[in-house]
Amino acid sequence: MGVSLFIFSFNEGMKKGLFRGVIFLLIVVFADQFIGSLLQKLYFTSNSNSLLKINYSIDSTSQAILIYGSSRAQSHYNTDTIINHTGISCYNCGVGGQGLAFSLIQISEMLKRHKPELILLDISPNILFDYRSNEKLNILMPYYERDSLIQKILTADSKLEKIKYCSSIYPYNGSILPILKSIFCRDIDNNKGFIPLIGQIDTSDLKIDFYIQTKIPYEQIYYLLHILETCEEKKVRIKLVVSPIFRKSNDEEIILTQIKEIAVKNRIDFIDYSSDSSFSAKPELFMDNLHLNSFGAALFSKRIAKEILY
Amino acid sequence: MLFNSLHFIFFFLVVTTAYFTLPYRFRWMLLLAGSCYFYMAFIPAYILILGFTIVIDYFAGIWLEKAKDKKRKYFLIVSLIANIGVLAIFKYYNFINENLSAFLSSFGYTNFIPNLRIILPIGLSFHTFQAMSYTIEVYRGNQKAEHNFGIYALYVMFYPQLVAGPIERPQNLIHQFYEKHYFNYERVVGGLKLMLWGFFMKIVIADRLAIYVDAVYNNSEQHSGITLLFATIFYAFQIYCDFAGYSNIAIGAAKVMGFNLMTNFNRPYFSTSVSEFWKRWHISLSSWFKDYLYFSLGGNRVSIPRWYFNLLIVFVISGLWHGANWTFIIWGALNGVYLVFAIVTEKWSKRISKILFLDRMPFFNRVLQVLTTFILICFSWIFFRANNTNEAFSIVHKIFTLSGPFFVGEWQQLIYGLFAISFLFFIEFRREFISPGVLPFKTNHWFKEQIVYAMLLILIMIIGVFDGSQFIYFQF
Repeated sequence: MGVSLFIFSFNEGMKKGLFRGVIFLLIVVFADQFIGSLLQKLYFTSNSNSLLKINYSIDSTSQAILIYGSSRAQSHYNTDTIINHTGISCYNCGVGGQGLAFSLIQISEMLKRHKPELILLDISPNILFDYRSNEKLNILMPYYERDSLIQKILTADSKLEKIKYCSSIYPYNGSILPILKSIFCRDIDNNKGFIPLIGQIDTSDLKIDFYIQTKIPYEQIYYLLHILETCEEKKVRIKLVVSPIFRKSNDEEIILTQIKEIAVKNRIDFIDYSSDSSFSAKPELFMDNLHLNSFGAALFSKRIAKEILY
Repeated sequence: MLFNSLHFIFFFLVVTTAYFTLPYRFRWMLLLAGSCYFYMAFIPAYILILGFTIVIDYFAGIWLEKAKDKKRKYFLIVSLIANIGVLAIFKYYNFINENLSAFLSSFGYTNFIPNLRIILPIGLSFHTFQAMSYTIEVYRGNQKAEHNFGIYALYVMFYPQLVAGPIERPQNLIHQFYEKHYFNYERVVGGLKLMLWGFFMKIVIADRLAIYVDAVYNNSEQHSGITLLFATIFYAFQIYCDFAGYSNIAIGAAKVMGFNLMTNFNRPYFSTSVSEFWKRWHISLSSWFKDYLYFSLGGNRVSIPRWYFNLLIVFVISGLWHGANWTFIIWGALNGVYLVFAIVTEKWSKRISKILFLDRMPFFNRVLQVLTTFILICFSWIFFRANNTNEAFSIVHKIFTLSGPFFVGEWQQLIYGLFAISFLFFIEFRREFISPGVLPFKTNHWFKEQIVYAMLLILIMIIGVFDGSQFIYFQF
């Protein structure tokens, strides 16, 4: 006999289904919690280069000079060169493919526990228009619980995103292989975050970024202003730097002018090497249009060291 | 609304709960309202296009049934023109116009007809074909005209299969809307398991493989032959898991509510010939073309040259159905050529098998046939995936020269991809040779099964791709 519930009959099949459904959910919740906490432990003790650098830049940096930005920051600022020429400790927190939202999280988390003397924020015109930038922020998912700013940025696309974080495993989605790799082979960050690029640009096949629009998106301006405000609040000096470009387009010029206006308005130093004659159009210093090779990076880092001392 | 989104999960839970809560007579209304909401989640205004063809086909069906002799044909033609017309405007207009421009410019003339700036309504080819099958079946006398406008609209718009099939037949689906579907534990759980397996195929296998495939195919000129070969094999599994994953979610979602939709995929990569492949791949479309086009052209009951022509034309049109691009037409034609070639060389291949003693080694022979079919199908996928014909031919050329280094990209993606393919092979192999059925796992103990499916869900959470990417077949 079924038990009447509203207008449909709560029959035996439903009872069985409910019972087994609850058991299934319990198995899922238990496995999720168990595997999730295991992954959390492994993630935050990971020695994998890709994870180590993010962990280190957020939780452990103690250097006087910190560099932030995308792959251009990561491969343009040779930390050893900067240290040798300035005598000041330095770490390169730049992470390939990441934009201003990522730098904002890195900087705001770092400033909670450390006050560096100087922050260099490398601005890449292309990264301001990367339509996949929000997706790439997924590498910050393990830090979701930490801060409301991280939560806001990670769930910017949809309010429903928050539901996914009910799972303990989800923040480590896609991270299992780097985590496992770190168990078996230890990566050592000898270059203090700097990753040199090897090779030389092929000028016969030069690829210049094409921009559909040149007005910097609102959210990118928001992230930049947020970084500047955070630094001002903590009384930390910040310089905006545009590192060399092999051949700068008119679009890039328009984009960088907008950044310069923001810097001037906020009384922030704006150092623009995008068309510096020591670098531009010199193929021996570039790997591609937007990236210096190791020779270019060494030369550029000497110039940056002078800027720091100046 | 994408199946692989939280939005859909909530939608499904709400609609299914309401479905079993409502009295039977209101259920079709709920499904129709839900289907409208589902479709309007893409571009709301496009429901008017769907509404237009639904109204025409509904009345065409009724008038067709009442009319006699020649008038019946006229009503059928009106219905077909309306459906194909919508398809032609939204899907083929710009393609035809661009080719006309290219043709005229080769003679020094200019085409002044402008292109249309419109977005293709999602799943247009699917619901158009489903609508066409209704009027054709009514015309043939295999299906009574549906007098309840709401039920007919629901037949075209039933949300699980609205945007990417399976392309249903009226005989299979319409009567199900009148049936009373009770809550049946086994059926509901069977449907949910199928959905979970569909999500796994899409989110874990297809979307993981897509990362590598897109990285290679979107910059094909920069990659070596070996990389392109590898990416093509990955693509073969990507498109299979993308589409079969969608079909499994659709069939599973319908099954939960008590509806049986037709099987759309039957482990196609275990086919021993291209002909068998097409009986296992996108079955609802293949059978649609067979029933309504191939047989109408005379099938194989015609002269041999005409038979070959029928096969070729069906496959070329099938290619065109997939997209308004020469790459799809070549893909279709290539599959047609495979079939014709197999028929022409049937005697020779049997003789060669005898000479090489392959007929005495059935297992080895089968492996060889499966591999040969897989290679042929992979070759045709190059044209399906490439952005244009020049790129496709350049990829083919590069694959045959195979020079240059192998592109690894993000090493994790490659390993996830290989794991995903191995996992799929394990499941499909078991279902093909050991434990047949639609579900990936089947044991006699419910608790063991709960654990296995829970682990499948956990695997989705660990290595699935949650970027909400579209299903490949949505664009068709």
